Amino acid sequence: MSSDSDKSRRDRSPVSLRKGPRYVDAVVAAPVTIPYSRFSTHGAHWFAARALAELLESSGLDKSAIDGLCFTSFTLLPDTAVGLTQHLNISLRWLDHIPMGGAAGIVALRRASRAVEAGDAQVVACIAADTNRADTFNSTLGEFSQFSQDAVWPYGAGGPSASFALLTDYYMREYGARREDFGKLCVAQRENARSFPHALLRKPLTLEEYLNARLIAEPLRLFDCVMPCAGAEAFLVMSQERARDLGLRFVNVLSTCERHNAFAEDAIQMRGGWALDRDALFARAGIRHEHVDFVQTYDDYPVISMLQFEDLGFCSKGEGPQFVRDHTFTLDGSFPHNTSGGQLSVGQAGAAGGFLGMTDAIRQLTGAALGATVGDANVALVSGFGMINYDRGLCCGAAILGRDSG
Amino acid sequence: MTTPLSAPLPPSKRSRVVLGLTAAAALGRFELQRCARCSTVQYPPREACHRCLSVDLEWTLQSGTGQLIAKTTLFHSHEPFFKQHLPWRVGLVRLDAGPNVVTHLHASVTVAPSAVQVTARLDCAGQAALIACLPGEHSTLTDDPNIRHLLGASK
Repeated sequence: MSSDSDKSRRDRSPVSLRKGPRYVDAVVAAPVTIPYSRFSTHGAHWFAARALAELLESSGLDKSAIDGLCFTSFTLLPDTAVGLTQHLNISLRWLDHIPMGGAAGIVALRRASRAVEAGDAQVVACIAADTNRADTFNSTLGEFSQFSQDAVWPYGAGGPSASFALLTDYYMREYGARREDFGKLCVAQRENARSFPHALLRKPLTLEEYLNARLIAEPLRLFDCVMPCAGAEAFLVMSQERARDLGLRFVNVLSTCERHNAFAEDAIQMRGGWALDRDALFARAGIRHEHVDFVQTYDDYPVISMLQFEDLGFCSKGEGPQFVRDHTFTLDGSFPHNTSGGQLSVGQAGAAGGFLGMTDAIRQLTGAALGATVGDANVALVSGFGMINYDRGLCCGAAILGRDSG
Repeated sequence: MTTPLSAPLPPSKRSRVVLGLTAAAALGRFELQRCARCSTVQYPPREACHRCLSVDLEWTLQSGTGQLIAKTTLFHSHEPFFKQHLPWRVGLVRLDAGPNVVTHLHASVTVAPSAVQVTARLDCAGQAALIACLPGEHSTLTDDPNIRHLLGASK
């Protein structure tokens, strides 16, 4: 993969960025997906319990060996991760409950890696679990944030589809994106989902079906919109030594970044916090864009994937539409993207949507893909985006993961 | 004896800080919080000035002029009131005073970007509703059937 601005980026990278805090010891292992269902009568605790049990099963660890938990959910209420420790009877010395939604996978990885490297915990379970009852999605949306409740929900109650419709409407006019460009991403992701067993939507999608689907929030139609569902995603963070002792396949954390409420002065969100951090992200990882073998963007709506291509530096701002026209985005093509089929095919199990790209990247880089494999993949970039608090998403993050060569 | 089911109303749950907006809308006025220290005008309503963090905020009359920067038409809603009146038009307006407002979009506004004026009215649930129309057109708000339903008004 290449970027037209690679050279200038290399030349501009100050030494201080490259000397940023690298990850030296923490690794990521045991990617877990608890199969999704469109609706469930189980609570979020059920999905959290299943995820923890699967983490133990796949790592061979006893429950007592888990001494850290980084947890995220929209539907665990009235509980937090604190209540979960008693619900599942786990005794921890490090506990974090993170509310970053679509950025939660990146943030969990960052928190857990530092905890392990600092010695605050030895094995951290990172879990995202959510249920989807017939009524939970509406109550989650209606009380999503104070600003949403006060200043967005009363204006049509369109939920995230309405917010992304406004962003898409603006992006199309500003940068000349066409419906076909967004459709190409959705169709390619569905193609990737065909071999991914956990995808709720695996039937091939044609561009015609995409273009002619029923309107949800103009210009968005049905297949632009992620499908809410129930499920869980999880992974373990521990020291490299521990992973080797357990005989686990693992990936290395080359670098990460996180940014909240960036570019607040912009009239509308046409860039995210990645644009501030991408130079440091790549410099710390010691790689360039062309070294990245596949990219997992956060994809609840295709316009946000296009923003991530731009802001992560794979193309310049406004060149997202042309970038999409130039690549296939399929597992076997140019610029493999969203290897599981992404949320647009797999479904959005609440906060687990923020973990999906991470868990499937770990599988791809450890030779454990559930479906088709990206050939010879050594480096993945996983990106997260979350929390439309009012008129824009506030949480951005990214991680570069590397296959272990040892 | 059963009582007839009443028609669904627009969602009415708000935080306490929105009371100032609603009190002004009851008088047909569009007021936003302005910081007494640094004069920043802000929306959505907050407990403090987002710029200088002063908690000395004054509700101040607004002209409501601004630019419609994006629009959508909803064909799906999660709330019963809007479901019965779909499609429903929504706009994102950058006020000349500074902040962004998500608004109901009057039928007089057909393209984005365009100059608009935001006005505040009480909706039929008794809460402030911000509506964007063409500048000077707010006397014709109820020409739009959805705005009429929203305000519980007769034509």
